[in-house]
Amino acid sequence: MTSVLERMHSGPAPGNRITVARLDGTTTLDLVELWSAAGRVAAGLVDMGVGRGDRVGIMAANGLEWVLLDLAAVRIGAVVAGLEPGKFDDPQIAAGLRARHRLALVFADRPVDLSGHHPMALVMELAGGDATAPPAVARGPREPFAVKFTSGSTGVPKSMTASTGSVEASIAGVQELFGHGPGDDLFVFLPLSLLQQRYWVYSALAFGHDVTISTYEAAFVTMGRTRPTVVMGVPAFFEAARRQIERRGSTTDAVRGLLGDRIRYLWTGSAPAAPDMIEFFTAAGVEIFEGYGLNETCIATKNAPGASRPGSVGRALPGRRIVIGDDSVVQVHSDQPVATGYDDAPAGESERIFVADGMVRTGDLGHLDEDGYLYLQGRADDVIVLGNGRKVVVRPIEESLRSSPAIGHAVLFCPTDSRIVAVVSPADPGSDPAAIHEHVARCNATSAPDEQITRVVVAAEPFTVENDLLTSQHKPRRRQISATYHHELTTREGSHV
Amino acid sequence: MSNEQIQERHQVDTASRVREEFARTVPEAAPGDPAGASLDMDADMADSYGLSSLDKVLFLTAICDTCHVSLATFTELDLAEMRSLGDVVAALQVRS
Repeated sequence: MTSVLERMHSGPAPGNRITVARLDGTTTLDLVELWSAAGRVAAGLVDMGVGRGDRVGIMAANGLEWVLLDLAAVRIGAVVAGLEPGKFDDPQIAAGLRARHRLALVFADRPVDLSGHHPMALVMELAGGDATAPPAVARGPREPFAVKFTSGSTGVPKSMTASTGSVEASIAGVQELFGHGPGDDLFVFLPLSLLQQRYWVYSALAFGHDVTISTYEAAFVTMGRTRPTVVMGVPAFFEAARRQIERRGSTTDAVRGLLGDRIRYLWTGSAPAAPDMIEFFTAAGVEIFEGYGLNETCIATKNAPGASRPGSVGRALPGRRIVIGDDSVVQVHSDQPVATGYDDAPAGESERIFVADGMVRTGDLGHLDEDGYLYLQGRADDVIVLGNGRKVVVRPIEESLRSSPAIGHAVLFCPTDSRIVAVVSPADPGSDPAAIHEHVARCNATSAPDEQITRVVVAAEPFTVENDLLTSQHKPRRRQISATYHHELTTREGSHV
Repeated sequence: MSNEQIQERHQVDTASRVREEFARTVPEAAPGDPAGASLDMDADMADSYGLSSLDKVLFLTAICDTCHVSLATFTELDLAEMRSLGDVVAALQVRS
């Protein structure tokens, strides 16, 4: 069977296009032209000393340059590290980034302190030249394909090197379920720094369909204009789309006005989708398929046309197997694992997740029905998944809050999907609220933006075993605390930090 | 009416629309205040009112519709730089 990369390297058939739709305009290119231009950029990279296995960092907003540079790297066997703008701005994180991740080159579309980088504009210069494309490099399934970053418990993103086999298996698996082909146009607006978002460009080249690249900001105004057949989104995006459609009267015209008139289905993943959101789009006549996966597993399960059950996140993709442990924790086995560990995590962290050859312990609780559909039931450990899909490990932050003598316990919640709120139990009823707030502000100063606490609810009385907010081992009871302070958590009461 | 008076009136109208639209997008930011009169025009919309990035895009899309300003006249950077309701009013006035 021809692999996805072999299909890409053989060059796309004419007639399919890539559209880049930003707020200020739209650019469209035939995929043949795109592949050819990427070949000229590849020649430029080779001239700059980049070869097989070398790492190229890209920090830029979605755009044609991003796609060209990525495809150029794919062609010559280089390994792209997608650096999400905003995530590496902290000077402490940016310092030494190149050395830490062995980046041979970095391209950026903004001023960044990365000890020298090339502007993204250079990509268009290379694409416009007349260099001869270097030969396409084949890679084995265990060879590195890209560097992925995932939230770290210390604020510094952890990295792992995704294998070529895992990328090909994921794209091929999705293709088997969804059969993307001529006439399809996949709409991508999430950052291309996320490897999975680049899959849809590879899929277009390998299987012959259109792809539209947009930006987060432009998505709502460009979907109707570009008329995609598939929108690759996350729950928060579709919740916002739903609100927009409801504002316009929830009519068929309102749906078409926002999403365009050719939608075949909507893709959602990265965070749990609310059942009523799924029901809303289903009732509106638009199929929406929820799936499940972590950075460490890539796409593990997916509902799909003809194989979808409400409330589930679908069945395992081909080449994946879901195993539910005795403790109900979901484990994902992949014939082509993404990685066998993190590149640079603190001791023990890789072993906690990558438990055996090809098996990843997810930390999510779930069960399978008799037909293999997976149903998730929450987290075994204490991780908040933000609306943008980023995970925040709350325990280290809560421990850091507890280091203040004014704070007895602190529990973090995310009632709005985007902002973290702390419910703080004072060390004693006389604890000074000002001291609590000062300590939270100090903790925020050393936290990554996604991990900062925006609001503090000081508990009316300290958590105790007697009031059922602590276990007999004096650990906070998360659910009971959430229920007790539900009003304050959801009505924006408490103090902003 | 003098040009100055017309301009001032226009400014007040835009600000009222911005307040109202924001209160509709983030009702918990101005509870019981559909006109959004209680909103602080200088406050950071994300930090003070919990506006998510997506809701910001939705809010700006809606207010542009209301004020007959095309969102396409902005760049992604323009949107990122609108942090307060006052910034939004100023940006709309330049383009309307």
